[in-house]
Amino acid sequence: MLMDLAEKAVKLAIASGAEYADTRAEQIHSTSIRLTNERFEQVVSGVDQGLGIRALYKGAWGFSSTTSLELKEIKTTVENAFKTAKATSKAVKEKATLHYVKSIRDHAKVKTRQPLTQTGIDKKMKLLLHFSKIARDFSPKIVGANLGYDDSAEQKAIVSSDGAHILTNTSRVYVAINAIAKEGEKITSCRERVAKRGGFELFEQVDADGVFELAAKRAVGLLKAKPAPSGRFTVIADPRLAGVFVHEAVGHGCEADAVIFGKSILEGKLGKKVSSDIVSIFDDSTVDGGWGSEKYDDEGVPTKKRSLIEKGILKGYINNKESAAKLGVEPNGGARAQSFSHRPIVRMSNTYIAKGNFSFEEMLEDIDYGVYLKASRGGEVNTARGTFQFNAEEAYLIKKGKLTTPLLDVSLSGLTLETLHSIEAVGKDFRLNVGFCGKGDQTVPVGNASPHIRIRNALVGGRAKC
Amino acid sequence: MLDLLEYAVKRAEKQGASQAEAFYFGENRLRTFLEKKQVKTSEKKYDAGVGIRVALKKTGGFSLGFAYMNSLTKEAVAETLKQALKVASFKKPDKDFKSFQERKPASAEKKICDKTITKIRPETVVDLANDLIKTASIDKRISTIAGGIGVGTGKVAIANSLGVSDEFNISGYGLGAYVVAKEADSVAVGWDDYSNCFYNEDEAYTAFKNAANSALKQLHPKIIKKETMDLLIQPQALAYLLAFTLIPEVRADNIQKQQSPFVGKLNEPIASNNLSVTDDAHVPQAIGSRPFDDEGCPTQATRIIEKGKLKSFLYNSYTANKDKVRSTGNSIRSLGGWGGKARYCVEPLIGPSNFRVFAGVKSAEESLKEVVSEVKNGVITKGVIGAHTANAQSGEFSVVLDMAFKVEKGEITYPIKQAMVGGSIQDFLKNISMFGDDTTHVGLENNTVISPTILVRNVTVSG
Repeated sequence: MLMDLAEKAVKLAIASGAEYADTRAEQIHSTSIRLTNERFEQVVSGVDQGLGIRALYKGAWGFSSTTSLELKEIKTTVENAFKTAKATSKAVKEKATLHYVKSIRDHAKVKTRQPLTQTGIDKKMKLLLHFSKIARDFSPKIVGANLGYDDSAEQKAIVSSDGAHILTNTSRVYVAINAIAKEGEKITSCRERVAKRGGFELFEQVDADGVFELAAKRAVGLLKAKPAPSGRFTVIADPRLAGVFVHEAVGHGCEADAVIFGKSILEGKLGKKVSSDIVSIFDDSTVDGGWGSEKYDDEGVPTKKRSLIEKGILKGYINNKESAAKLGVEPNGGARAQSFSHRPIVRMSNTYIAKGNFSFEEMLEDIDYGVYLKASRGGEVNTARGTFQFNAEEAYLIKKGKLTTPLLDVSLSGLTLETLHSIEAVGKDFRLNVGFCGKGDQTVPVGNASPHIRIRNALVGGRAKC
Repeated sequence: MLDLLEYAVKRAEKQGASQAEAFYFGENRLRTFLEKKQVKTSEKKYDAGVGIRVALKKTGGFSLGFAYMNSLTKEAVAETLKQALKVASFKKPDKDFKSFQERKPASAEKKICDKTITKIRPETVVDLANDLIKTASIDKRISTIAGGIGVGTGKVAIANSLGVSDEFNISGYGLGAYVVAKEADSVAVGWDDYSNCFYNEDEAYTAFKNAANSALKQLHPKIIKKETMDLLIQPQALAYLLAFTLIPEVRADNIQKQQSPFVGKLNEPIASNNLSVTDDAHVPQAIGSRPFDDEGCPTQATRIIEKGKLKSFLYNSYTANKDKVRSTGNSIRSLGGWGGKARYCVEPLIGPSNFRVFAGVKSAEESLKEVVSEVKNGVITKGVIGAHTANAQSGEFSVVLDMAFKVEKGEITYPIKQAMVGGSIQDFLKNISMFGDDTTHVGLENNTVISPTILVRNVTVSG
C-alpha cells in the first residue's frame, strides 16, 4: 500500500508539471518509555503514518507532508508541494539542478531475530525496571536513575521520478541511563547507553547489565571530583569525546549543503591540508552494525563509504543529488530525513577518525600538566565560524604523565581547523558510539567513532577560580 | 474533533477504565527557507493526532496507560485503547494519582489566534523572504544570508471522564535570520530571531537588519584574557541558559524526584533580592499563552521567584496532588529526546508557559544604555552555545559566548574571538545586579522566556 501511494504521489506531481519529485510513504510503530526512580513517567506507543513529497519546479523546491493516507488528502498534499515550489520559483536566483541516478528497485530489510512489534510493551517495561535496579543496587550513593527506552520499526517506500522504487524495513532499539549519585550537597550524574539497528535480540547480544552498572560506578566516582581549572592545556580526548569532536567539528563542516550555502569553514579547501598528517576521517553508511547505517538514503540513492580527510588532506564532502550536481561529483547517498514529515537534507551516517598507532600510555607519558577528558554530555558547533564546544562527563588532571585528580564539569572548546592541526597523536584503540544528531528541526540516529586523540593547546573551561 | 475525543472517552469507560482522557493536537504549517542569499525551498505540512490516557482502578490506587494515533478514525481509537489498557494493566498502582483534571471554566484567551494567518499564501511568505534578503544586503562583505520564516495554525482539544470537553485555536509566527560576513581571514556570524502568535512583517525586517549589522560588527575579533568581570547577558542568551537550568529546576516533578538544587528551598532566598520571575500564561500574543493546559486545567500567572525568594514550583495535576497544592496549570506534552515527538504522542509532563524574568525592585531597572555604562570591565553576549550540556540536577554549566563584545569603562568596544563562561546557576542568580529596559520575547518550544538584558557581576570569563 505504501509503495502504491508513493508511486501515485510522484506521478501526480510530474503530471502537474514538476521537473522532479520524490516521496516517502511510511508507517512507523514506535515505543518510548521514561522511567525515573522506578516510576514510569512516560509509556508512549503508537503508530505514525504519513507521506511527504518534494517537488522541483523551475529550480525551486516545494515540500508537503500529511499524516493522513487517504487518497484525497494525498492529492492535496501533492498540490501543496507543487504550489509551494511554484511560489518559490518566482524568487529563486540560482536554480537547483540534480545529479540523477540510475533507476533501482529493491526491498532492503534490516534483519531482526526478535521483531520489536512482536515484543509486548510489558516486556519492554520490565526490562527497564531491571536495568534501573542494577544501577540502584550498585551503591546507596545512587539517589536516582533516569532511564529511557526508544524503539521504532518502520516500513518506508521511497519513490523518485528518476527511477527509485525502494521499500525498506528498518528497526532500531535504544536504551539509555542517567545515573545520579549524591553525597552531602554534591550531585553528579553519568550516562551510558546500548543500542542496535535491529530488534529486541540486542539484550541477548550485549552485556547491558554491565553497561548500566558502569554508569552508576562512574557517577559515584565523580563524587570525589574537584572543580576543573580553565585555560589552555594539552588534552587527551577519549573515544567518546573524540567521536563527538569528529562529528560536530569536522562532519558538519563536510556536509555539502553547509559548504554550498557558505556555512562551512571547509568550503574551497578540497585537496588542501586541513589537519595534521596523522588524521584520516571517514563517513560510512555501510558500517556493519553502525547505528547510523542505511542501505539507501531518502532520495533513493545507494549509500557508501565517504572519504572526508586522508592524512590531513580534505578529500570530499557528503552529498545529495543537488549538491553533487553543483559540485560536479557523484551523489554518495547523504540525504536523510527524520521522517516522512521532513525534507531530506545532507546528513552524516557513521563518522570516524581512523586508527593511529599510539597507545594510551604513550600519549600520557610526556604530558607535564594537562587534562584527560572522557565521554560527553553533548556539544554544539558553528560550522561557518568553525567554533565548537562540548562538555566532558568525566575528566582527570594529568600531572607528570600520570592521571591524578578527577575533575567536574569540564568543557572543551576551540576553532576546528586550529584543533585539527593540533592533533599530535592518534591512538590505536577504536570504539563505535551511538548518538543522535540534530540539524535544523530534524534529528536522526548517527554513529561516531575515534581512537583516543591528543590535542595541544586546547581551551578547557572549568569553574575553579584559580 | 471533540466528538471523536468524547467517543474515545466513553469507549474506554465501557472497556473498564475508571477514567479516561483524550487529547487532540493538529496543525498546519507553512514555511520558507533562505539559503545563501536566496529563497529556494518552501513547505506546507499537516500533522494531527490523538493521545488517549486511561486510569484503571486497582487495590492501592490507579494505574495509568497511554497510547496515541495519527489516524483519526474510530477503528484507530479501538487499537489505541487496547494498547493503553495493556500498559495500565502492567503498571503498579500509583497512590499519588487521584483523578484527571476536573471541569473548571477556562481562563480567558489573550489574543493567541491571529485569524489572518490562515489566509497567508505561499507567495506572500516567499515575497517577504525575498525582500528580507534585500534588507540584509547592506554591505559587500556579507557573504551569506540564510534563515526561515514560518506561519502556522493549530487546534488543541481535550475531553475526559470528568466532563472536561473544550478546545481552542492558536496561531504562530516565527522567523530566524542568519548572516555571515567575511573580510580577509575573518568570518563572522550574526543572527536574530522573533516569535509571536501574530503575523508581523516589520519584525522580520528588524531581525534581518540586526543579524546583518551584528555580523559586520563582529569582524576581526580580539582575544581576551581570562578574568573575573561583569557579564551582560541579553534575552536570547538568558532564555537558552535558563531553559536548561532554572526552568527544569523549578519543575515540581524534578523537585519531588530530588533532582534539583532547589529541593527544600521554598521561601528561601535563592537569587539576588532584585530578581523576580513569574510564569504567566496570559501574556497577549506570546507563544506560551493558553486558556488551559494540556490536561484541561485553567492556566494562570504563578510567582516563581519574588525579590530573590523562591515562592512556587511549576505544577501539573499529578505533582500538585502529591504536594497537596493546586495545579499551576503547567501541564505540557513534550518529551524531548529522540526526534521531538508531536504533542499528541506524549503523556503530560511539566513545562513553563511564558517565563517572565524582571526586576523585582524598580531601582534595579534602567535603560540598557545606563546598565552598560555601569560596567567598568565586562562582556555583553547575545547568545550562548552549549547550554543544553548543563547539568540540571546540580545547576552547573559551561557555555561558549556567541556574538559577544568587550565592554570597557561603560562602552561596548570590540568583538571577542572566543570566550567561555562556567559556573552554577545558583551563583549566577545571586550575582544579578541590574536589568535593562529591552524586554524581549524569546520563543522556545511551545513557550517563551520574556526578559530584558541582565547584568551579572563577578563572572569568570576565559578567552
